[in-house]
Amino acid sequence: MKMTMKKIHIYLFLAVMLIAAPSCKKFFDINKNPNRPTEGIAEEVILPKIIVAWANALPGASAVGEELVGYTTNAGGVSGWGSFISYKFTPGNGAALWSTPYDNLTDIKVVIDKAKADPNYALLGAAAKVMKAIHFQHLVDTYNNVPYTQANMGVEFVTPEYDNGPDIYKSLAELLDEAIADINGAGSAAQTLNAASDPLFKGNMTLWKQLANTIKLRLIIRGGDKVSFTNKTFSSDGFLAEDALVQPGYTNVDGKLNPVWSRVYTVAGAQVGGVWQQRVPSFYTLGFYDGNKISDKYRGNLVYRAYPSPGVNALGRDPGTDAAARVKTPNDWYISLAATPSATNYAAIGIVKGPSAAQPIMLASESFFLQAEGALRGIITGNVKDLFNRGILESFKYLNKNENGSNSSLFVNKTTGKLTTGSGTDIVAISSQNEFDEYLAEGLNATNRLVNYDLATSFEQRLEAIITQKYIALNNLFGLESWNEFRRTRYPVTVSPPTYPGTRYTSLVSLQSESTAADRLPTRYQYPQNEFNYNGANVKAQGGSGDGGIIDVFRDKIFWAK
Amino acid sequence: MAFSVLVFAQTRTITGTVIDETGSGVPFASISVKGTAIGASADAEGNFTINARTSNVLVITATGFSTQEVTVGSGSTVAVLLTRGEGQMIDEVVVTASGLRINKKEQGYASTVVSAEKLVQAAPTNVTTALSGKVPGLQINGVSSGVNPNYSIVLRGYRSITGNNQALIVLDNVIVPNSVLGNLNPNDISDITTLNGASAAALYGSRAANGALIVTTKRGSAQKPEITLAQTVSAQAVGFYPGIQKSFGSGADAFVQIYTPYENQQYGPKYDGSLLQLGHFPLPGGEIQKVPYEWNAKEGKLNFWKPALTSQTDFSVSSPTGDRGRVYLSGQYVDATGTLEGDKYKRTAISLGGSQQVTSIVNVDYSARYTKNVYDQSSALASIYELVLNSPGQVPVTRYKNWRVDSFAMPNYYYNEYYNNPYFIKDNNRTHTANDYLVGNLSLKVSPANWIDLLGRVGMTTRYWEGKNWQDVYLYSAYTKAHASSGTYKQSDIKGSTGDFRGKESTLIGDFITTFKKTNIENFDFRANLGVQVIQDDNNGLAASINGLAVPGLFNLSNNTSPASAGGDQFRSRSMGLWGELYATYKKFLTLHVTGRRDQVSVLDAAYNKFFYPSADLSFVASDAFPSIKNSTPINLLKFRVSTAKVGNVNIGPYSTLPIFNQGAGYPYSGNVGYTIDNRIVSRDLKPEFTYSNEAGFDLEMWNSRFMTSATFYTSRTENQTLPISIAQSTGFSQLLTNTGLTKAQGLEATMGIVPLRTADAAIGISVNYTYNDSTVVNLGNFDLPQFALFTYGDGTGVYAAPGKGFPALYTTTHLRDSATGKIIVDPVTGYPSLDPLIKYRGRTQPLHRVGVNLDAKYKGIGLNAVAEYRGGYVIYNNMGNTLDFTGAGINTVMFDRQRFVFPNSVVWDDAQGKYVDNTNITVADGGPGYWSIGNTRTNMEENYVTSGAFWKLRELALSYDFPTSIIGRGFVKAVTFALVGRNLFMLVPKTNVYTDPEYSDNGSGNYIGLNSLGQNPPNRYYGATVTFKF
Repeated sequence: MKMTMKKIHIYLFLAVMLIAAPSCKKFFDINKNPNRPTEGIAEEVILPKIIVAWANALPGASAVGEELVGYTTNAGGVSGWGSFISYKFTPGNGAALWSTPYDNLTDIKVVIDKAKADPNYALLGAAAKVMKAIHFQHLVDTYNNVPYTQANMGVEFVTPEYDNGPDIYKSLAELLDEAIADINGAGSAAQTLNAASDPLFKGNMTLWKQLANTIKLRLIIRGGDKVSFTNKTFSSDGFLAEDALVQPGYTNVDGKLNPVWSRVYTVAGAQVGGVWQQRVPSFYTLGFYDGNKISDKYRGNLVYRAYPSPGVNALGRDPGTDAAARVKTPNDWYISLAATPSATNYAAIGIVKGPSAAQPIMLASESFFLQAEGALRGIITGNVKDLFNRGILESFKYLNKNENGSNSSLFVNKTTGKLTTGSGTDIVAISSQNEFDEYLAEGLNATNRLVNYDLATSFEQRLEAIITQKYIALNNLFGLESWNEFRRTRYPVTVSPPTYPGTRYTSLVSLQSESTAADRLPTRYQYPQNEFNYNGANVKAQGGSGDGGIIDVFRDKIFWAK
Repeated sequence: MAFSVLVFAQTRTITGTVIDETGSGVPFASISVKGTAIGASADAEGNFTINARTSNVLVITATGFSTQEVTVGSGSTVAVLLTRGEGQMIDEVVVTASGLRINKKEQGYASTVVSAEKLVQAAPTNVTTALSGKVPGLQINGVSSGVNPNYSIVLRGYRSITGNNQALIVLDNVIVPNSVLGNLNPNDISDITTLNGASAAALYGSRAANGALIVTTKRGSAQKPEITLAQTVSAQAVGFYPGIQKSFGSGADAFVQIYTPYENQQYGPKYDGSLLQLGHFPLPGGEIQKVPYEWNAKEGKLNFWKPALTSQTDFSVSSPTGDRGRVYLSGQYVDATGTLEGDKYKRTAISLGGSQQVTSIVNVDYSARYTKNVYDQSSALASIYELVLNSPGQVPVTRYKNWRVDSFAMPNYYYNEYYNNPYFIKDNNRTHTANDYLVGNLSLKVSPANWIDLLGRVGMTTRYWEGKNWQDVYLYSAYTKAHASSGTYKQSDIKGSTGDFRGKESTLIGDFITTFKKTNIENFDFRANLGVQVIQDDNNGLAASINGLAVPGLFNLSNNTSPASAGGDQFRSRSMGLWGELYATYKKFLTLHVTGRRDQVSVLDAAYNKFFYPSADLSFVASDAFPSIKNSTPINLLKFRVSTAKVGNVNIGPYSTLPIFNQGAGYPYSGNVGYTIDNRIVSRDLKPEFTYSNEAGFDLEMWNSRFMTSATFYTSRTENQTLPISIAQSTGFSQLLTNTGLTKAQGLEATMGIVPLRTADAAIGISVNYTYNDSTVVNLGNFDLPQFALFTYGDGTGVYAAPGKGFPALYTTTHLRDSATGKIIVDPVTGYPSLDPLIKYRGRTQPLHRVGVNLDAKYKGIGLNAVAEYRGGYVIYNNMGNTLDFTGAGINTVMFDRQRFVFPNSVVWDDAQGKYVDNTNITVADGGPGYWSIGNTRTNMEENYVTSGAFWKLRELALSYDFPTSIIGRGFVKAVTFALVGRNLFMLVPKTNVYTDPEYSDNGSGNYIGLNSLGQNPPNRYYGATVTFKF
C-alpha cells in the first residue's frame, strides 16, 4: 500500500510536469513594451518634432560657417585650434551637419508617406515636403553629391548610392511645386495644422507656400545655369515677408532652451564652455560696423555687447597678451546692460534674446535679399533697390525683437547707439525704421555703394551690395548660409594672402591656413566619418582630387561654387 | 525524523551517509553487508539505503579512501566517515549542468574544479580575481580600477558578436547575475567547477552557450563543530604608472619653448631648477606662488594616488545538526579605501547553508545569503586622471589637497588656467551607492525508491540598489573672473547638481527534476533525468536628477532651480525549458551522455520563440577498459572524451522586436508632444543565435597522480548572430537589429601538473595551463558590410567585427600611407604626416595565447603558493595616449628631445619622379606641441596609441605558516595560520606599452575589450597579511 501511494505521487508529479510545460501561451505573452510606444503615434505629433529638431540644430550648424566667414575667430594663441585655423578638415569635422538632417528626414518620410496614402494628410505632407527641400538643400550645399533617391530607405538600401547635386536641386524645386499644389488641392476635410502640430506657422498655409517659394528661389538662384530646372516660375503666394520663427514653447528647462541661448548658459545659469566662449569677432567682420568699411552703430550695439570694442582678433593670429583680443565673458555676442553679465540680467535683444525666445529658421531679411537678387537676375520681377533696402530694414527689425518677438521696449542713445533702460539726452525708444533711415546716412555710408544701392551701377557691384548686406544681416545667426553665399559669389570681398595687421580689416582668411588653394581658403567640408565607415564604397565613388582619390577640402567644390 | 526503539532481528532498511574528513559527502561509495551478497551504492551526495540486520557489518569502500567497516546498531541511520588513503587515486566528482553530481569518469567534456583553499590562498575580497590563471580556457579581465573593480569572465573567447559572452554563473544550482559572484564572501565557497564549453552547459538552456561556472558553497561539517576566525589587512598601491617625461615643464608654444606659469601643457623649456612663478595672477593680497622649475618627485603628479588599506574580517561556524544534518554560518566585513583618496568600499555579508535529512526519503538542502555593499567614489574618475596628467611636472600637486582652506589650492587661485584642481574635482563630484543582494534557494529531494529521485528547487536572487550622485556649487570670485583668461573654467560658475537612483532586479527560478537510475542491466548502468525549468527575470529602475542647486551643499531633489528630470523603466522576461538527459555506462568505462532541451522565451515573436537543441558526449576510460593499461604501474587514469552540442542563445532583451518612438527635440514643451521614430530598426523575424560546438580531449594521470596532463581541442561556430549593425546615417537610421553573420572559434586547452616532491613533510606541485583561442568572424551575412562597429570613439577608432579578422578586431584611424611602399606620407613643406580617414585593422583584441603557472609548495607548516599568468598575441588601444601627447606629459613626446625630426619611415611626393620617395631630410616644422599635441599631425592618428597587449603578471603570491601544536597547545584553539599574501605584484609589458594594464576595458565587462582610457585609474598591486584561528 505504501509503495502504491509513492508511485501515485511520482506519476502525479510527472503528470504535472508534462501538463504544465506546453500550455503556457499567456505565460510568454508579456513582451509588450511598457516603457515606450511602438505604435499609435500620429503624424500630427511627428511634424512638430521635425520642425523643432531642425530649428534646434541650426545654431550648431551656423557655428561652422561663423568660423569660416570671420564672424568668429580664435581668442587665444594658435595651438590646439586644429582645423578652425588650418582649414584642414577631416571626416571628423561637422558630423552633425550630416547626421541631423538624415535623422530628421526619416520622420519627414513617415509624414510624406502618410500623406501619400491618405489625402486627408495633404497639408501635413506638404509641410513635410518643404522641410525635406530645406534639409536636402543644406546637404547639397555642404557636401555636393549626397544620397537622395536611395536615402532614408532603411534596410532597403543599407549603403545608399549618391545622387549628383544638380539633380537633387532639380528634384527639390519640383518637390516644392508639389507641396504648393498639395496645399492648394487639399480638400476642406483635410486635417489642418495648428499651433501644436505646426510650431513654425501655426497652421497658416499661406506662409508655408511663401516659404516654399522662397526656398525654391534660393535653389534657382544658387543652382543658376548648372541645373535644368523644370519650372522656374513661382506661385502667386509670394515670398516670405516675415521671419520664419519656430516656437514650440522654449523655456528655461533642461533640453527645452532656445538653442541660441543654450550656446551661452545652462538652465542653471552656468556658462556653457566652448565655441562662443573661446572666440571673438574678427576685425574683418567688425569693420562692417565700426566705420572701417561701413558705419553701423545701432546694429553694432545690437550684435556686440562691448561695441565698439568687443574682443577682436584676426583668424589664426596669436594675440599673446593682447588684452583687446580677449573674450568679454560670457562672450561678445551676449547683450546685457549690467556691468557683470549673467544669465539673469540679459537685455533680451540682438542675437541671444533669451531662454524662451523663438528660433528663426529663415529671416525675412534673407528672403528680401534673395528677392533682390532674383529681381536683379530677372528670375522674378520687382524693384531691386526696394527689396535690398527692405532686407536691411528687416535685419534691424529682427535684432530689435525681444524675447517675445515684439519690438524691444528698451531705449537707445541716438548718438552712440548704446542700449539703455534710462532716459536722458538723445535717449529714444527703439524704432527699427528710424535706425535704418539713420543708417543710410551714417558716417560715410551715403557714399558707400554697399549701403547706398543707387551707387552700385554694374551687375557685380549690385550683387556685391546685396550679398554683403546679407552677410551683415546673417552675422552669427546663419553662418553656414553666409559661407554658401561667399563660395557662390565671392562676396563680401576678401584679400589673400592675409597679413597682420595689414589685411586685418580686408581679409577673412586664416593666417595659419594650410589651404593649397590660391585664395588660401577651403572649398568644402569633408564627407563625415560615418559614411567612410559604413558607406565607404559609395563615398569613395564620389571621387575627389585629394590623396587616395577622396575629396580634397581645398580643391573640390560644390557644383554651384565660384 | 524516523526513529525506532524496537530492535528487530529482521532485515530492515538502513539509510546512511558517507562523508569525508571535511564533511562533504563521498559519492558513489560501495556499501556491502559483510558475508552476504547484499550491496548498494551511494549517490552523488554520499547517501545510500541498504537492507541489513542489527549487528551486521557494513563494508564501505570508495576509490581514494581507506576501506571502513561499520556495525549496524539499533538505529535506522548510519553515518560513515572515510579517510583518504595515502597515495590512492580519488575519483573526482563533478557537478553537472543539471546540478547533479557525477563521477568525472563519466564526463565527456572538459571541466576544471578549483578548490576552496586554492581560491582563497591570496585572501582576495573578490572571488573573481582569484580564478585568474588557474583554469585553462577561462579569461578573467579586471576591467576597471578603484575600490570596487569590475571583472569580465569569459570562457573560450567571444563568440556572440553583441550578445553576452560571459560565462553563466550558477550558485548552488541557481543561475545568478554575474555581480553576485563578485559580492560573495570567498570563504563561503566550497569549490568552483568550470564547465568550459557549450557541450557541458547545454542543459542550462539558452544562457549556457558561453560555458558556466558552478559555484558550490559550504554546507557545514558533519563531524564536529568548527569555528574559524580570520583577519586580513592588505595595502594597495599603484603598481604601474604611464610613462611620464620628467624634463620639460609648462608651456604651449609651437616652435619656441616658452615658460607659461599657468599652462597645462608641458611643452615649455627644459627644467633648470630656477625658482619660477606659478599661476596666472597673484592672490588678492598680492602673494605669488613660486616653485623650483624641476621635476617634483615628492609632491608631483605621480604622488596623487596614495597607498590604501583593506581590512577584511571573517568568521564562520560549521557544525552538524542532529545526526543527519549539517549547517554552515558565516559573516564577513570588508572595509577598503582606495588609492584615490576619499574612495571607500564596505561590504557586509552573512550567509547560511546547510542540508538536512528530514525523513529516510526526504532531504532538504538550503542556502541563504545577504550581502550589503556600500561605496563612496568620485564620479569624475576620467576627469581626475586627465587633470593630473595636465599638471606639469614641477607642480607640487599634493599641496593642493586642502582646497577649502589653502589659497593656492582653491579653484579661484589654482595655478592652472585651463584644468582645475584634481583634488577639488574629486571632492566635488561624488557618487554614493549601496547594493543589497539577497540570494536564497531551497531544494527538496525525495527518494522514494532506489531507482528514482524527485527534486524540486526554488531559487531567487534579488538585488536592490540605490544611490545618489552630486556635484556641489562653486562660484568663482569677481576678482578671479576679472583676472582669469577668457574661456577658462574660472569664468564658469559650477551650479551644482544631484541625482537619486534606485532599482531592483530579481530572478526567480523553479526546477523540477526527476532522476531514474538502473544499474547492472547486461553490463550497462543507466541514469536519466527529466526536468522542467521556469525562469522569470524582472528589472526596474528609477532615476531623477536636478541641474542647479538652490542652496549649496544640500543634495536633495527639492533643492532645485529648475524642474527635475526623472525617468524609470521596467522589464520582465520569462523562459521555460523542458529537458532530458541520459547517461548509459557500459562496464563503468564507456559512458554515452545525450541531452536535449526545448526552450520557449517571451522576448522573441511567438513564431520564433520555441527552439530545441541537443548535445551528446562520450567518455572512454581506457585505463579501466584495458587491463594492460590498468595494470601498468605508471598510468592511473587515461580517459578520452568527445562531445558535440548545439545551444540556442537569445541575444536580445525584452521589448526589442518592435521599433519604438521617442519624444524628440526637447519635447514635450508646455503640454505639446513631438515624437520621432527611433534610430534603430528591427527585423521582425529575429531568431536566437545558435552555437554549434565540438570538442575532443583526453586526461592522463600517472605515477600516483604525480604527473597529470589533459588537453581539449574545440571548435565552435555561432550563426544567426543578432546584430544591431551600425548603418550609414544616410539610411535614415543608425542601427539595424537583425540576424546576420557567423563567427567561429577554435582552440586548445591543455594542462600539465607535476608533483616532483611528495613526502610526509613536504610537497611541491607545479601546474601549467595553456590556452589557445582563435575567434574569428567568418562573415557578417546579408549586408556585405566591411566591418561592424561594436564600441567606437568619435572618429571610428574602436573594436569591430570584421569578416576574416580576429574577433574583436581593433580598427583605428591611421596615417595616410603610400600604397606602393606602405610608408607614411609627409607634407613636403611642413614634414607633417596627415590622416587617412578610412579606418584600418590593427589586430585582434583578445589574447591568442594564455599561460597560467601555479606553484604550490609545502614544507611542514610552511606553504608557498604562487600564480603567474601570461597573455599574448593581441593588441590594445590606449585612449589616454591622446592626453599624454596633447599635454606633453607622455614619455613619447620627448622621443626626439622636442627637437625637429625627420618623421621615421616616411615618404614625400617627388614631382620629378612622379612618385613618393623616401623622406631623408624634411623635418617636421615643430618638434614640440606643433607636432605632438595637434590632431591633424599626431593625436588624430589613433594608430599611435595601439600597443601589444602582452603581459606577464604575478597574480598571487602567498606564504603561509601553520603554527604547530607545540606552540599553540592542544587547548581551545585548534589551529593558527599566518600568511603573507600579495596580488598583482608585478606586471611586465612590452616597452611600447607606456600606458596601462591591458586588461582594462572602457566598455566595462561588456564584449568590446581592447580599449582603455583615463576612466580607469592606474592599476594597483596588493600586499597584506592574514591570520586565521580555528576553534
